[in-house]
Amino acid sequence: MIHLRNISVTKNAHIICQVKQLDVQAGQRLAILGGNGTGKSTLLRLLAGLETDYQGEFQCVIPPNDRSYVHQSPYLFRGTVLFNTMFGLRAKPHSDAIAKKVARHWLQTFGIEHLADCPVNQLSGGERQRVALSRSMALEPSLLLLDEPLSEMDSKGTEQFTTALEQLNGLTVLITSPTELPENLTNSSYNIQPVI
Amino acid sequence: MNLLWQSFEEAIRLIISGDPVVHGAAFRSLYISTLAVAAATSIGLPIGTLLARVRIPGRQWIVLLCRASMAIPTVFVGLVCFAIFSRRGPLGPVELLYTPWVIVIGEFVLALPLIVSITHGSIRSLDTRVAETAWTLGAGPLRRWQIYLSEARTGVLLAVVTAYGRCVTELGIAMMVGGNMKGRTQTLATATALETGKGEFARGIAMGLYLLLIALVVTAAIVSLGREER
Repeated sequence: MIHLRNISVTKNAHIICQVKQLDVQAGQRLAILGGNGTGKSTLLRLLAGLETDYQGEFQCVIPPNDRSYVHQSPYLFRGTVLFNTMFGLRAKPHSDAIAKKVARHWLQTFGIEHLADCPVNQLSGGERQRVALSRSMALEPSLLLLDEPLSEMDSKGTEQFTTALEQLNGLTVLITSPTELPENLTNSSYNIQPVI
Repeated sequence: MNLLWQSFEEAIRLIISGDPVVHGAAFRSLYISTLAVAAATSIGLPIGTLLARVRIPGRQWIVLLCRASMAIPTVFVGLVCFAIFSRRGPLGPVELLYTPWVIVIGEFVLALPLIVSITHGSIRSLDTRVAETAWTLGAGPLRRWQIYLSEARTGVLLAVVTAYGRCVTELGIAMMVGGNMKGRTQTLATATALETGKGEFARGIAMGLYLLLIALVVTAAIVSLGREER
């Protein structure tokens, strides 16, 4: 489904990401592991379609509008938690009532339904991350790309995230992390090598 | 000092009693500037966003031109409009000279580069994640444009307030192409100049107070619309 060969991304004459070979199958939950500065985020951005200046071979059968990417430090738009969670759903041919129902379901999954009408600038780091995950997962994309989604999550948050992932069975998920992820979260891993 | 105080008292009396000259000029200034800024906003916001988000050939030159035009003297805009709309000008046959409509056109020319420049700057300075997040969530061009304007709301509103302030207080265009005709094309700024020149100091102050009031009300209204939810 995803096929990468000899990929390298260069910024200001420096190679910031190198991947020799990576293949991802449909339904795979892959952990991309590596230390700081190894190019995990760049790889994810490339897969999301945000990084278009690269060398090498990259094929992905999923169209860009069916991939969803969550930044390491997610950006929430001005407005309420519900507005943010419904944002992507509104771009789809849903009625507003259905979009609201779906958004509330995901907020409930992440244990933040009570914050639905809360302005996003009043949220903590972990809550912001939960909102961003709800917003992306509500779209039920074929490919979910998550950049260190657990960096600001407590143990309860990690548990809610695992439950949320279980609801999207068959979905292909790529998660970056500087350390090993909980066992039940992914079913394979890829160690990204530091750029030489 | 005594003259100033007496004139101030007389000015308040003129405003309260509904002096037709003062009120007429105030109403004319309001509708002329509102029309000009509304037109410049509806055209300037898409242009500013486009220049900030789309790689158009020569866009840095367009932005530079708009920025330079922000400091353009109003009397020069008036002069150019006069040349265009005067009887011998290319648009002379439409006979708009010395009507409020030509002042609207002149003020539109004044406001447009200001709105384009500030909108462009506000959207350019947005966090890159705004565009990336909207795009990865499947937002189309229109929805992305809406979110850019919403995120850059403070800057965009500042653009509109600044443009309105510049238009409602400008003198050069209204004087050159409007002709300062009482009851027809006289605005607050031109009437203030005329009345003060005639020695009607109180009337001049009354109009000046109106200008100040308009500036305060418009700024307060627009700022309250863009207030953060904090």
